[in-house]
Amino acid sequence: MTQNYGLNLKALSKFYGDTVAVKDLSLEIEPGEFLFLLGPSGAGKSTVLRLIGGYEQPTSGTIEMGGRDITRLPVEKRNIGMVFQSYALFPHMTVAQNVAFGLKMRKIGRAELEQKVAETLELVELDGLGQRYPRQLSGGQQQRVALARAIVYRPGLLLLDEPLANLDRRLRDTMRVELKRLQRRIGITTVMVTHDQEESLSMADRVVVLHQGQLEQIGPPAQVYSRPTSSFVAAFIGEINLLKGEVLAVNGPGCRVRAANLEFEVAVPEEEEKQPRPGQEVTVCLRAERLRLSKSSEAGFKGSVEFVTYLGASTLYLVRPENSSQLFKVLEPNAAGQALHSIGDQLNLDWSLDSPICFFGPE
Amino acid sequence: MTIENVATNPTVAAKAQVKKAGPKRWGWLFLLAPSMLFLLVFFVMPLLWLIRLSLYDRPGSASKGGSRFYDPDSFTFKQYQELLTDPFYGKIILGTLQQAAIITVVVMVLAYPCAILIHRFGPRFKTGSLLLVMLPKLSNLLVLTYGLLVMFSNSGVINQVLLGLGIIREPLPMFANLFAVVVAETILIAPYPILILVSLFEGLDPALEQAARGMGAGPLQAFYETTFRLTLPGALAGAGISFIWGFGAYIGPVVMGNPDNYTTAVEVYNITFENNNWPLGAALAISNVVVVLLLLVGFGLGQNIINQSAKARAKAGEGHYRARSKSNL
Repeated sequence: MTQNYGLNLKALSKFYGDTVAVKDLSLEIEPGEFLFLLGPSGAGKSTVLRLIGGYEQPTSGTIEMGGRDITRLPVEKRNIGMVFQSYALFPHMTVAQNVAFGLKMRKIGRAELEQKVAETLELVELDGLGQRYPRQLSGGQQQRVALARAIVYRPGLLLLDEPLANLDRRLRDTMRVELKRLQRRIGITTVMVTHDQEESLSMADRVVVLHQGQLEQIGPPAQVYSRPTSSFVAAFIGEINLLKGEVLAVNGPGCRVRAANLEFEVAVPEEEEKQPRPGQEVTVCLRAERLRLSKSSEAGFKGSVEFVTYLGASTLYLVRPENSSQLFKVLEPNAAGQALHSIGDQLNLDWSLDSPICFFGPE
Repeated sequence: MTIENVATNPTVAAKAQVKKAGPKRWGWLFLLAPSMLFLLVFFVMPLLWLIRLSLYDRPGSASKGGSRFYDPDSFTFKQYQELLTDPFYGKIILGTLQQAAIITVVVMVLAYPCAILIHRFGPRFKTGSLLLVMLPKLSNLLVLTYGLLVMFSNSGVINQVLLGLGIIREPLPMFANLFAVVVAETILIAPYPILILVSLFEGLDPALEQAARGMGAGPLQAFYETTFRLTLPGALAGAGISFIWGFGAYIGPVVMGNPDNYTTAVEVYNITFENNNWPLGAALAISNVVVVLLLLVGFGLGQNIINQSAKARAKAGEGHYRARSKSNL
């Protein structure tokens, strides 16, 4: 097996005329890491991938792979494997010929080439389908051919551009696990683009959240989910309630906040420089699954259920507190034998003191 | 009858299906009727009449009245005999084939890169350039070729300018020769393969070439392995169309050529209307159609062979892969 490369992006920028696609992006990717580029459409994540692959030239900044500057290196000399969203399988070649393509370009001898093709097809569980043409395969099989084709020559880096986007949901869930296991098994440094936050949380070693071409946050999935550094990240990952308001008073470890015509206590961040002042603006992020609904409790706010979305394992309620225009999304697990709330029910909406994630100051 | 009954009784179910499918299957034929009728009246019937005409004899001096073009009582293969025995006609057909081949090569060499260029243009340029490509087809044929004549003749614009600048001493022979015929016919024929090729390129996933690059192919090789190989059948079809058009060339050779460049189409006209030999003209016209049909059949067979051998090669290669993967286990 060839050596895996780390990747180092330094102050990478890409402009199309006046339009900013990527701005001042610096990023270090460890050898063997599975890194996700996550963001809404137009965030520049595909552009970053295409810059790494060499399909686009950066306006400024450098890209280093395994310590070597590859910024000006043409695509074919970068030794990368790329899986396109459309798969881009060669329709005029069989599966085996598709997989053999990269080896042929590397002038690998016939015997070794055939052995590697057979091994790789076995690895992605397509052995026996080598003589088929891509159009004779299902979507999931095509996806695996695209993957086999990209890894057969053991590239130093694997780039995946929304490879699961064209699969139906059940298959996508299966392929997530398979892709992750395969990546582990061959230990290849992998960068994958997705707009699906669930996908990135379940598969990534680290997630990079991009917003308008800039890096919002980077970290392991659990950290990005539980400790978002901005309300954008908080809102992008998971079901969240965003409340804009102001600080009323600060008293030690907590402070009183008014938002959406409600007054409540939130925890104050420990960092010295983030200490809130009375009168300051605040953005409060409340995860839907951290909110509680109860009929008996007196704590929290009285509100009425306005909409119910049954999701099987859980139920999503839309609840409006009295005297507030804010509709709260509340995600509750469905316990056995417990009746669902229904529209019009008067309930108490409550959350624990450490649930709100607050960003003080203008955003 | 319940629904289960229909489902479990195969004949009933089948009958129901046939009844349902009946009007749907044949209904579309009515849509074809007007065009079929048109073809029948204005193409098939004249063609059949042409065949009959080619089997008449010329009106001899002995013939009493009748048509002045042919002897209505005759039935003879004399005309075809003449076409086969007089080397003049064989030479004309061969010459026409050769000229069509040259035109096809020139057309395709120009059309392929031109189509790539149009395909890669932005949407605004694309519309404009497609319009430019179609321009020769939108203008009058004769006006167009006479326009070329004005450009190319010895006293034409190009020669006058070059002479005036002292670049040449004698006018370049750009008129009444093969060059002039090929240029004229290229202008008339090239739009067809260009349009075919542009639509082919539009249908290709641009990621194909990028994928090839990613796997280690240089720009030219990536182009060859994906775009070129995928558009080759379409390009061959375009070449086939160009060849047939080139074989049937008339205006170009008449206006821009000399008698050496006359095609069978021109000779059909000459024999029929200048020499007043209608049966022989008809026979040559029919021979022309036969040659084109033979070419089409040959072309189809050739493409089939290419496709089959590609499939065979893929299968042979695959046999190898399978054998190996088994031996690895």
